Amino acid sequence: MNKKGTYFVTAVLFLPLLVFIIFGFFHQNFSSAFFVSWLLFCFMGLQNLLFGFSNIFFPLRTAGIFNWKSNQFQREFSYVNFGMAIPGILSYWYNGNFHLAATILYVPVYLFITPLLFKEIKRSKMRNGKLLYLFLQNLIVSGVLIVLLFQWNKV
Amino acid sequence: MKKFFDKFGIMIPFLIFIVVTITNLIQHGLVNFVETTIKNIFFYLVTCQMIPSIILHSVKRESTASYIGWESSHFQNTLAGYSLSLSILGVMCTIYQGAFWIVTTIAVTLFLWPCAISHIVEIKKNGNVNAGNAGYILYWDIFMPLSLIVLLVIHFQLF
Repeated sequence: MNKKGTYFVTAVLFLPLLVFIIFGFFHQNFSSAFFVSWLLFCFMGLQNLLFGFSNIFFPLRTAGIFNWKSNQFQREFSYVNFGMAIPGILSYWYNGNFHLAATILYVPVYLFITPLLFKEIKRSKMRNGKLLYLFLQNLIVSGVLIVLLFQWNKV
Repeated sequence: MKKFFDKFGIMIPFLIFIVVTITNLIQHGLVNFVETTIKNIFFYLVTCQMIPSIILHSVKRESTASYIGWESSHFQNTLAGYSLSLSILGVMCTIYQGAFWIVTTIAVTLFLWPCAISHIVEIKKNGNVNAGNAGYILYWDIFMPLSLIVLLVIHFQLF
């Protein structure tokens, strides 16, 4: 069970990136609209769906990434994950304002916890690789989404 | 006064929503009633209700956790972040329709209904009847998304 948990938590973190690169690379009609939908599908949809299950079935392992205490609020965080996952997955099929709304849903959550994650990364002296990866991934994805949607609306 | 505010302050957005809806009904009758009510729900029951939650789950984490009857945790910050997202979306829903309404309704429903189930399980299992677990918030968790779904079905004439 412990090993299963470790594998699952690792998959939660890195599977979306793999899917993003592999399936994105082989997509035939690559455009900026597809790029936004693919970003939202992988990092908002797929990752949050996996995170939701991980928070429910492997709470201690998942809380271990952040070095936070696991309790009922973690269960509520899993509902947050599901609440973000479905619009993220639907973003693949629905464009325009759906992307904007999904981005507004996604970005503040991670930007809000960024200082906390940064504090934990500093405390662990950069040894917590999973957290460092999650921190950078969210920062980059949020930044790219904001820039792309801003550019898009200007055009 | 402080005690009264502590106990019933959380219901202020709902009371304002009721007053605004009745006023709207008296002034304009059933003309655009569904659309206006949906926008009012997004503004008063999503945005205005969620804004205090941003501060409560981040700055006043400990007291909020004890109000619910749980132990405080850093995971509350993610709830604060999600409340911020929904607050922004709630305001946007009064300006934009369509996709914004659908995304916000999905996000609100998938978050609040399981939360309501958690609170009910907590009442049954541990007898936790603290105001933050069994009070107004529990009813809001259940009926606010339900009313949104019903009104959206009527508005988009899905049946």
